[in-house]
Amino acid sequence: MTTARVLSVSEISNDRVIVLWFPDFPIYAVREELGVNEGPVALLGRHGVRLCSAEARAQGVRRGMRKRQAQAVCSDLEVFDYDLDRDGRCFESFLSDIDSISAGIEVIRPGLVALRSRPLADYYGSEEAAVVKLLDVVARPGIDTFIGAADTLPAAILAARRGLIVQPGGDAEFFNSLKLHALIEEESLQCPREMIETLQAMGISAIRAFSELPRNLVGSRFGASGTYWWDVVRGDVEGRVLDEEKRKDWAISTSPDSPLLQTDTAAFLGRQLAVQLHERLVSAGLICRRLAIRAVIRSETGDHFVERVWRSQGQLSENAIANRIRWQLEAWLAKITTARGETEDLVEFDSEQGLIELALEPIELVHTTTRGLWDHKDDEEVTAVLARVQTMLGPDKVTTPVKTGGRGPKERITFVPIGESSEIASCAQTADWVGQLPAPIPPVAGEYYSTPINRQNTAKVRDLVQRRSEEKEAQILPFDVLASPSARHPSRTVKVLDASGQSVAVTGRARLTSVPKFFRWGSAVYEITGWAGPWPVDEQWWAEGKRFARLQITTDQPAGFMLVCKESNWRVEGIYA
Amino acid sequence: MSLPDLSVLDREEKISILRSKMAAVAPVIQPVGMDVALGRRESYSADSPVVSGADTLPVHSQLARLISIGGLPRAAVTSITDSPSLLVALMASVTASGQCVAVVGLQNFHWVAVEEAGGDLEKISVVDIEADDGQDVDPFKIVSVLCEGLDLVILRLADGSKRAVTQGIVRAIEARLRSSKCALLVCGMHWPASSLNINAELVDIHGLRMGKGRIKALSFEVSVSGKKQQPRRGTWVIGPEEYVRLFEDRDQVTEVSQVEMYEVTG
Repeated sequence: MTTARVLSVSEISNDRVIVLWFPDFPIYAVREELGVNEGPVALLGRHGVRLCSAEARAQGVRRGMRKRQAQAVCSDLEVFDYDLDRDGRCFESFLSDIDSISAGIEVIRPGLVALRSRPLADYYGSEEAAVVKLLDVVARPGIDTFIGAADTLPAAILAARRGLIVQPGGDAEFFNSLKLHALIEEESLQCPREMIETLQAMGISAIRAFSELPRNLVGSRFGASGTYWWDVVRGDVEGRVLDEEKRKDWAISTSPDSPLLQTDTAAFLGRQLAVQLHERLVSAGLICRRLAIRAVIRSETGDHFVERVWRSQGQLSENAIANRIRWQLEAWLAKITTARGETEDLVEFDSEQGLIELALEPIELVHTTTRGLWDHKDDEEVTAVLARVQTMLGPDKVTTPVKTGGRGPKERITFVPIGESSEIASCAQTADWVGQLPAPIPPVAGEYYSTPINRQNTAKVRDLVQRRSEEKEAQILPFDVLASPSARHPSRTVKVLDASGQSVAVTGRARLTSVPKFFRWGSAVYEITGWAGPWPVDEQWWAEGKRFARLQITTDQPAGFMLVCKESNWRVEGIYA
Repeated sequence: MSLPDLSVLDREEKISILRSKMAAVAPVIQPVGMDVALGRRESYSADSPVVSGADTLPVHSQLARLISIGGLPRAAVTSITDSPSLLVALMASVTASGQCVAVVGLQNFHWVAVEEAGGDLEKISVVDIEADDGQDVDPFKIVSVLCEGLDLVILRLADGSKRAVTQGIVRAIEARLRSSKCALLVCGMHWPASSLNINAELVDIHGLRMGKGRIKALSFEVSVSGKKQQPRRGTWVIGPEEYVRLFEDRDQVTEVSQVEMYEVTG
């Protein structure tokens, strides 16, 4: 799929991107900044080796190994902590090189850069010429460069990892040639790992097979992110770039009283700006996915205007924005300080140099709700308010219950995050489910109450038990439970007892072993005033063990319970109260 | 406004002049929107007929006849006993009329029950405030945001919750409510000065006998009280029509004297 012919400029779509990938960039950053020579190097994350150099890999060091383990395998291994800030600083020098031949660079993460193909091809005559030019300018000893191009960003990232140029319109074909696992090899793509793992467990290991699944089924199983990735691998995701004027509305800037040279102070200023921007976006229910950081830096040679665009597949959060500002400022300001450090003494700091203006401008914004909740105009307020809560808590924390197929009260409902289409979930609903629990459904599950319902005081219950035991002239009911200090006891054991205090169970032939008389829930004891059942349930033989019986009871409290007996263990499925 | 020199007058005269001044000022000081916003109206007394639906949310007729304004007051707080069946019935009647409901803190709820009771699940948004990453979510903050756009917000704190309803929270939320059209229903917690209190006790469950039948209907002994609300008590049978009718003839609404009311609410 590599370039077979030279593309003419008119063939290149506006969204087409070229991606540059520097493999093992953090290793290169360590070698550069800390002056580590050739030799095995490993970087440690929180849970062991996060990244290692080719030499280390050759000696058997692997990702995920513990530090000691890695050192045992490779005795001359040099170990450092993984530091995203270091990468960010170090990457800046590459960026300024790319800057010299191209405008409009978008950084995805340190080590991965995207560029719009169209303007480059326009300028250099063809995409191929642009690619060669780019490779020339970033080439330097100690690091490899891979380049790729495709019509959409996810495709271009994966193409870059393979050093491929995907022909226009060939995204779907390119994806089809890959294994499903490829989607999670690049973290910044933010493809949900569980989804890929589930698909693989289902026997779908090629992207081709995934893209051939019906869209609605993918949606009903994996939700919005499932359908998003389904669209991606079929090569249709549209960009959502704000036009010039709208961008201006969201841009915010700040100018310090005097030029800042200390990176710490400048970064602090950056963080404040990030918080401000984030709050504004949150209140409007927007998520930022592409952001330009701009600064004006005053130096001996005059005022310099610098800009960097950052891009993310998911949301650029407040913290993410703040971090990116810090990396940028550190790199930019370091240029001045190092230039000066060589010539002047540090004591003669004149305060006329440094950062004089900092601005943030969101370029790509996405609504938290891409679709209206209820398609009425009056409900705009409702949608806006819910979207705001979604930005406060996370989109999956605000849901709407949707009826789906099933028999038990819990199975019959799926929660769909607000803003996503509920049609996907409800299409799993088939017309009739024979054997559904008849109405009325108990309104709540047993866990609704953190303690067993006990409206009457315990003395009365104790009384009742006492009376019962006196009648029987023996301690039939277990007093030890009543004497326990709190009804909040975690066990919350549920028991159904007969008149003689023996446990009642349901036999394999769906019969009660004796007539139920008492119901014990944690420390509370109720007398049963009515009961019906057992109603056996035998479902999902393939999942093993969905075989139980339901018993409906009413008690003297009064309250109604739907109990479930499985292998002589009882639990409260629902409560009528 | 300038006052005449009162030092020459004696005490009685001073008072009468100041009183007349105050009478002239009073209508201006009285915030006009306040009473309406709190669900009260100058025009109706406890016995007046049900007011139009603009200020209230529709509830089941069995409950509506107990409440003097005939429904849940908008822009005000109603507190209700933590009884899920009542919540189901209320959500069903409110969503069936096309109003939007958001619930905070109602975990482990069987939403199918709302659908079965005639409600529209599409109009319901469930807000999950259970912290899963150690970050504590303030339910009151969420509620005050939701109040701005929804018709009904239901708040329930889990039994074990340590959150207390402080004066500050009450003031902040009620201020938001007043400028909205939202009815806030707090469930199973004490809310100082709520404009309507609905207390309910499950008294009977119908349809289930020893070894046969199944649960068909629940009857509740409901008592309502509140500002501008004559305390009343009556039965509310939640279930199919035939059960409701069964109890209709022997059931009447009783006006409860204030003293008795205190006994009921404890």
